[in-house]
Amino acid sequence: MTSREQILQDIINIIEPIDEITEDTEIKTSDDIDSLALFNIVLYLNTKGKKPTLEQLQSLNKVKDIIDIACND
Amino acid sequence: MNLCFNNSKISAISAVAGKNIEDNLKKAMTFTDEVKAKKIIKSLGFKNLRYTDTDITTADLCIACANNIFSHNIINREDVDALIFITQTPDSLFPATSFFIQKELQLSKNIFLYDLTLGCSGYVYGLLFANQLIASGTAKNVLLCCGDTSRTTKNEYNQPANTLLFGDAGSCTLVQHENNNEKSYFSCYSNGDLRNIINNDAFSFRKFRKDPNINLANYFSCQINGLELANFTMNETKNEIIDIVHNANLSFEDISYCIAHQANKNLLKSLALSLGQTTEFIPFLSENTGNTSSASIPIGLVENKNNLPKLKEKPTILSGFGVGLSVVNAIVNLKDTQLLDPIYM
Repeated sequence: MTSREQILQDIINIIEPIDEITEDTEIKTSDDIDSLALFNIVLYLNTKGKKPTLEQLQSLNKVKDIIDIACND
Repeated sequence: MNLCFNNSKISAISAVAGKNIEDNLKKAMTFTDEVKAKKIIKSLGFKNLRYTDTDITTADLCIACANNIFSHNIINREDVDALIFITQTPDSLFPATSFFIQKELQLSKNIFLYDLTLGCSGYVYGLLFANQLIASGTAKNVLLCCGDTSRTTKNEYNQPANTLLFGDAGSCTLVQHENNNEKSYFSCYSNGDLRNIINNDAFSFRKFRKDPNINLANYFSCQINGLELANFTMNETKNEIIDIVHNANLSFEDISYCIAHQANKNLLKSLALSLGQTTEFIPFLSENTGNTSSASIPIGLVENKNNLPKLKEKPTILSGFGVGLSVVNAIVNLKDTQLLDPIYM
């Protein structure tokens, strides 16, 4: 199973942020996490076998919520 | 449509990009603020666009590349028996530009010349056609010339961000017959229903026939529906890549890279992720050249040849997709292909 640290690093690699991204980064206020970045994150979650619902995506608040989806069985 | 060819090889690839460099961030800041400009450039990935002087045409770029191949003694010019020229920026409406290239390169008069109007999928489409010419016995030594002077020709767009996309580049690839039993695979998907997703009505006889008083210069504007194009790429291009690997009885582990048309960085990243692959597998190779239409694969290869070591180890997917809309994919062997140093002019 992939560790939270590895998933965070994967997300950072996908986003290529200008500012620092941590688990506590707020998705809605981050300049780095726009709709294109979120789209790629969803594709990344798909590769992990995770298919988040629209409801789940709309309720995302912090980066750690994305990591939770990736880690949950 | 799936095809398989034997007994051909891609002997050499030469490519040229414009010698002039435009800073894309500065350009973006002429129509938006710095924060938005940085986000746009980060998403597109094109920090700089390379462009030629305006008196240089696509044919001139391809001629320079062909002469580069001849100067490396890879083939004698009199042995070339077919020339394919693919562009959206030809020298003239008629005669076909390939006749000019033939003259300038002093090629044989016993030659098959063919011109085709295609953009981003043009390079792989041309490779397919070169293989068909070889397989049919029509030719043994095919020069495939393709490229576009998009940056210096398409100067009007439906959205300002589209001015940050295109650079100028040309290429020449030598495809030869060889009894090597080497297989190359191709797939081709064309969808004319989506022809208006990328569209330029300059020189449109359909418009002119309806209204002879029309000023066609007013239509010299490139329309691009980026959202539809992204949707097409994430569906058709992705599915075609999966299919060609399957039809060749290979898996992605058997492939070195997927060298895709350099549409923009984010789109390639999305394509890689949707295939369950890394960005290393579908590398972004055009940070300092821009989207160079049908030349983006060859210029990407020659500019980055030292950063693509697996090319020498395994077969490679080439994926062209775009205007038409069309997708043409290939699985080819580039192990022995001479990737000549890039030219800038």
